[in-house]
Amino acid sequence: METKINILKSFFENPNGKFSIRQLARILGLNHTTVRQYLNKLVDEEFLSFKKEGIYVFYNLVLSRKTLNLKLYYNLEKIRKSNLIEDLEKSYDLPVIILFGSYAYALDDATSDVDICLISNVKKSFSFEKYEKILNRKISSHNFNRLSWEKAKKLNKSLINSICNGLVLSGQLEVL
Amino acid sequence: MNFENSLREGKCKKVMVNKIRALSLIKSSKQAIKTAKTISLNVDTSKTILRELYEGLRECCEAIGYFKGYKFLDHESIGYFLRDVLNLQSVYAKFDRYRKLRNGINYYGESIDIETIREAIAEIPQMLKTLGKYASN
Repeated sequence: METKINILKSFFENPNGKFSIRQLARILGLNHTTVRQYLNKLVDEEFLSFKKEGIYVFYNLVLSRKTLNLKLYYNLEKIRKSNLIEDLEKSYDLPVIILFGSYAYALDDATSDVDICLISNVKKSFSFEKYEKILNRKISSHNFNRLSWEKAKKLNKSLINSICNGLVLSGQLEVL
Repeated sequence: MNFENSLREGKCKKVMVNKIRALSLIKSSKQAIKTAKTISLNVDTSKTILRELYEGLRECCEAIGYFKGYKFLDHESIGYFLRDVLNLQSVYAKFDRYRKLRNGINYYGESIDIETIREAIAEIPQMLKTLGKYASN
């Protein structure tokens, strides 16, 4: 699993990108033959497809449910390893934290933000810079206190719907 | 983890229903909440207030346990009891949050924001109101 994710990492970071064996061998620090073997296996498993362009073969991600499930695991593991949630929990006294938007559906690409909704009555500023570097994505934090959350339910239904369709990473979201 | 696991692992025991102890705990719970409300809230008293509020909440849960014939040996089991036996998912989530916050204060010297205490002052009595329905045999 780890090896598979390690090989797919470049594709997950840039799902619309295409990579040659030479590029991937350089990124992964492995020789061409090993990389080719891994890639062929991933093509057989339908995570990747390939296309010949001139003398080069380029591989790209197949955006199937199977691939997206693995990419979601990759996204969540990246968040876990960054300690972002733990640090937010400490700073905001165990708030409700919801991951929503494209990153929560594994539909993010290199230009996508990581959308986070944070519900807490604690008023504090929090720097996301460190975590943005680790995640290689900009973090958009949508902060609410209990009162503004209740107001938003009435005034910004589309945002609230997106949030409610996300993944609760900490606490419990009370929708009703 | 769930309540069944707690029972199996001996973190919660089946005991005889003990109304006298339950009623005594309810009295104690009410006293703790009353005390918490009399303390004026500031940075120096915030931890004490949360400890007292949590204590009131825990005592009420322990009382319900005695009414139903359970004795809890750890606080996590109380949470599972609320969720799995009483089917109070929302109360469980709140209880577990306050349990973790109180543990942070008691055992790890963590600080707590005054707004969180304000929230607890409003929320814990509400939780006790919900639990009140179960605090009798």
